[in-house]
Amino acid sequence: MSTVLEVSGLSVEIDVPTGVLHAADDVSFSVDRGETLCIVGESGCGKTITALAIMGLLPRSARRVSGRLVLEGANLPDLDNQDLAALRGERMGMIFQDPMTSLNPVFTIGEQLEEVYLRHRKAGRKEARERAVYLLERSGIPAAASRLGQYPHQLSGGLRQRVMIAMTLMCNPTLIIADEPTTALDVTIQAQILHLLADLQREVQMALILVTHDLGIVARIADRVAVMYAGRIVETGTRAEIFSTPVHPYTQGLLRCIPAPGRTRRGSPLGAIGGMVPSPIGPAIGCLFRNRCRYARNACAPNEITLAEISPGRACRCVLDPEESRRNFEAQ
Amino acid sequence: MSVLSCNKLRRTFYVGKGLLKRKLPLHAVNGVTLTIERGETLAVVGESGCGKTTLARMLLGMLPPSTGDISFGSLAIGAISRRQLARRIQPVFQDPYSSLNPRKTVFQIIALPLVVHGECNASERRQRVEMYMDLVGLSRRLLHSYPVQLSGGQRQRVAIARALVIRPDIVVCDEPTSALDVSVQAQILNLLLDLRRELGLTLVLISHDLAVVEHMANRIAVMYLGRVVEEGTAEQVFDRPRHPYTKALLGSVLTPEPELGLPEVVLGATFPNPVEPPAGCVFHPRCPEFIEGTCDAAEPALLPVDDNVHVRCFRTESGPSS
Repeated sequence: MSTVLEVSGLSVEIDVPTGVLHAADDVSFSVDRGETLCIVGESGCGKTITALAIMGLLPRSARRVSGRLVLEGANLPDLDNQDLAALRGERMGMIFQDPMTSLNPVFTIGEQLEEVYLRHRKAGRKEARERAVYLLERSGIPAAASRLGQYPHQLSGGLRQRVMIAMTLMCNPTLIIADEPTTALDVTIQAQILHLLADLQREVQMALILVTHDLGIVARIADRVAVMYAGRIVETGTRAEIFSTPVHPYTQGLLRCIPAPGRTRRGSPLGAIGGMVPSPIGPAIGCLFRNRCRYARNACAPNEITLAEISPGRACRCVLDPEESRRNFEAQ
Repeated sequence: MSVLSCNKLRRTFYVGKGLLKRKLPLHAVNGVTLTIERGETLAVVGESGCGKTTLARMLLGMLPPSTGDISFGSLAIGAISRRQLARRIQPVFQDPYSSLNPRKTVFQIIALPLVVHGECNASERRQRVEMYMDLVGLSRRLLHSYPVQLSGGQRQRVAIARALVIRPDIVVCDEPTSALDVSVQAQILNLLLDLRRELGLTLVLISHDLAVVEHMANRIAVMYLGRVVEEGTAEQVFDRPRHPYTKALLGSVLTPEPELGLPEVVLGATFPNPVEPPAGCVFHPRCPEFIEGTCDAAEPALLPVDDNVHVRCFRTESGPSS
């Protein structure tokens, strides 16, 4: 399989009145064609900033201080704004969390869908319209042709998110980044939208990066998983590896936090992670999870801990021996 | 013994489609009958727009019902004042960022119900607030902090302490953890479980997160378009759902079980317009077990099918469905 996107050593900083906020710190991963990578973590862990950095859509206050973002051979930071804009929508697309605000309320669905196609392709309006109708139908929107004249406010949340998905697919991109695509939707609609994404991805063999905080989604859709904490990736692995033998104490803690049928008993206490995420402002040295980690030891504080490969395709940022970690998890 | 019950509760809003068009009735809650026993946790679940929040607001006395009645023990809700009502039932809202007054300190926020109800003198009040801060796991050094200085989990603890400080019979939690991160959610759920055990608290939990509901509730009421379609003990509803909507809802939940993959989606069509609900059973346009000529002709009643389970479906009326 060919690699679509390779991110290496990405660091993003944001200037705040009290200092420098390290939003993403030495983030590295890659996605292949036809693969779904889930980036999972809690709010403020840097998952959205990472997604925005790839798209070249970082807010003005944030800056990328290092890192390569290679999309099919081209290093994105080397491109000027115009070239980057040409890639956005054409080779990579993004689906945002809130379909209520990510569509323009003063243009019809049809105008917004066609615009993407007309901008990137030398094609006529008729061809763009046909493509829009095809993709709306493919996205499970009934009476697609009649929807083109409608405005976003006339559609329900689920339909709007389907329109967003259709819009990112207009030019057949090789990479789609979906940032919490179903958080604003009901559970029944969530399952439908995720199904749609998975089906379309299989069909066009694109790479999908799904950013989420919901381990339930990760468990059902990911091929590979990257767990982020306080701006850093702390563990990567396949879906089965992450869920059956998590190695990093944070991943283990996260898994124990969520009620799961068969594993947690109704009404019994859940394994909460005590304490709070450390402040991302100012220099950070050592393991950032150590103040909440039950296995913390002296070695965690002074040195920079790297994301070390523990088996092919699997890495963890922890001083503990992976075998010991696995035994810890099973013992609980 | 039931602490709270409501009978054929209905709330209708009138919504306009335009300036000159006639406003149409929207039955947000349409004939809900429920009883809540002392010490139990009743969860009300359903999709957005099913009327669960309207129901909660009526139980809290924040919204008068259009018809039907609510009673606390033997007292009808109309017979007690707002003030007395607030002593018996207290809310915890979804968003701890907007449900706390940003200009008051933690002490002022938690003590406010005591002030309103004229309970305790100043020194007792301080003691009582500190006691409840300990109970919900808030450090006493936060006593004079403002909400902006607290994390989401801490704010939700403040909201819970404020709800408990006048010792109400019932606490209504409307999506208490959906604005929080998973690790914080687990802390708050554990806290609610502890409080339930220690104080014998009666909880009404309004939620769309079925994993949370399964973990917390003793009894579940599933709502669809303002109606309760299935109601029963947690074991019955989760282990053996009877109503097709409950089955679909439970089937859509993404539990962290990586071997399962994405669930098959069985619900057809989209959520109906609540202003023009479908004829017959309101669920029939989306129902995978729809019987033509029966389900679209009349509305089924909420009938007992087994011990502790009530279901609103023709399939279960005529015999147990598979």
